Amino acid sequence: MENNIIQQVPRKAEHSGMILIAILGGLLLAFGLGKLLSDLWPSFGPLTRVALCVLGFVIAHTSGYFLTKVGNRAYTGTIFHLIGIFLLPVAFSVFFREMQVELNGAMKSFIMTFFGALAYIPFAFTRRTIFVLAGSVYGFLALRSIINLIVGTNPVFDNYFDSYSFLVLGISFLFLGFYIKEYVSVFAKYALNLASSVIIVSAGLSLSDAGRGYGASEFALWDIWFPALMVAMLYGGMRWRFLTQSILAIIGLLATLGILIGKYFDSISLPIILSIAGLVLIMIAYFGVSRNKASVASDAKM
Amino acid sequence: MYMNIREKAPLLIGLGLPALFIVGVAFFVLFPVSSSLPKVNFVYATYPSNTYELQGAIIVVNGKISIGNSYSIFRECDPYITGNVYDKQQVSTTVVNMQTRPDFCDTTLPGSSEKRLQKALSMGLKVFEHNPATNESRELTIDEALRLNVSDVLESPDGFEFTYGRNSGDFYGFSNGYSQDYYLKNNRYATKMNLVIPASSQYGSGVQFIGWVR
Repeated sequence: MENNIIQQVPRKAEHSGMILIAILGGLLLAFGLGKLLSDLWPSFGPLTRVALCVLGFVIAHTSGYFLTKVGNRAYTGTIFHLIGIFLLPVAFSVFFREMQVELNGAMKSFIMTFFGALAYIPFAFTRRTIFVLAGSVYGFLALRSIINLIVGTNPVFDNYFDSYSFLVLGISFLFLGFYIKEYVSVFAKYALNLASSVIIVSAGLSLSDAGRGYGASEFALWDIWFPALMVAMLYGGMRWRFLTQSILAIIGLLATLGILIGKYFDSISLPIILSIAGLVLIMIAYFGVSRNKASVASDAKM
Repeated sequence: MYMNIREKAPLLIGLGLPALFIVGVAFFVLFPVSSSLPKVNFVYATYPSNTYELQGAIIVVNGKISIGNSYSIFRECDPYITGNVYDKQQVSTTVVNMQTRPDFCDTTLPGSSEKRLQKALSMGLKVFEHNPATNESRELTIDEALRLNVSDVLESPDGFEFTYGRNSGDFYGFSNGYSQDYYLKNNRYATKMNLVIPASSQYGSGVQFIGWVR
């Protein structure tokens, strides 16, 4: 037994070393092929350029699929899928340029990203995390592109409108994270939770901060909406035990506390602000601990 | 069945919410409330982008269009400069009596508004009246421009502002700045104005909003 353990240590080290050498080899191969392709690129015709990009996309995803399913090399397969995902917009932009497609920038962006967002379809069949992440990122960009396509240069849709669109995206990611959770893709769930929390807090803060000096405008209402949103997010985070949401909701609450005090009670000094922030944190912690105790008790009863 | 819907609910909300948002935005853009359409005519001027001297040259004085005491346009009359030496980058040696020197050579400016405007027009300035209802512009003659009664406040009587369009953003919507489109905008609605912009104008610098026709 002891001998076994002693032998495993160098074997493990040897194995890691081999992996590092393989990664180095892969990088050198990729750079070599990339350099070769870039040298030869000017001599290719338009159709050859497009065909090469499409071929690269197909080869990357096919290799990824077979490495994962047949070769049982999930991580290597993911890297190939990742290459394919990056090649998608490259292939589209080469196609648009070489075929001289006359479309405006927003339409081109939408077409590229819409097809990327369809990555949720392979996810439904393969359950690979990489497709959820690709679908979410491209979906985010597709939404931005289609909205830009619709609103054009209309100045009503200003920076604050962007914050609203980010908020919608954040909430959408939150629900997609819930759904992904059902499919055991833990990494994707955490990635979506983190993205949704960051987007919701930053978009809400931007809208809340916009209320400064605007009096009774739509933004002034965000003095109420934003804390309510953060409380709901904190409650949800504790209820479903999402650490990222809880932490970001607390950060959001503290930030909004600072904004509100600065806006309405600018005579209040720093020590009092810090004390109020401390009290809020203690209340949140007390609430969290009580919830945890109740949850443990109900688990024990079951 | 119930369980199936409950399981799929997060997916439906996650994908449905952005779709609903897009539909809402499209509805807002495509079906504006007719009562919020702009109705008040406005006046604007255009100038070739290489004649930066004309930028902001037009002013409104007591409701009438006029050319400001623009040093750049009427620089040859400045007592600091003799003849055309300014253009030759030569410093004038003329001794100027500061007590008698008028600000921006008022005394030698063309006396009447008509002459001032004529001078500006000869440098490429054009004045237009725009009707937002028909979205058409009409170039004004000097007489017509001088006869107009104009209000140069920011907001029109029906609550609209003249503004640049936003940059539609070619890179997935991530870009800032202004477009070359011009709009009349209130809190809820903006309508694009088809202005007559000189081909030589670049980055929207060749258009000056003057005021609302009273």
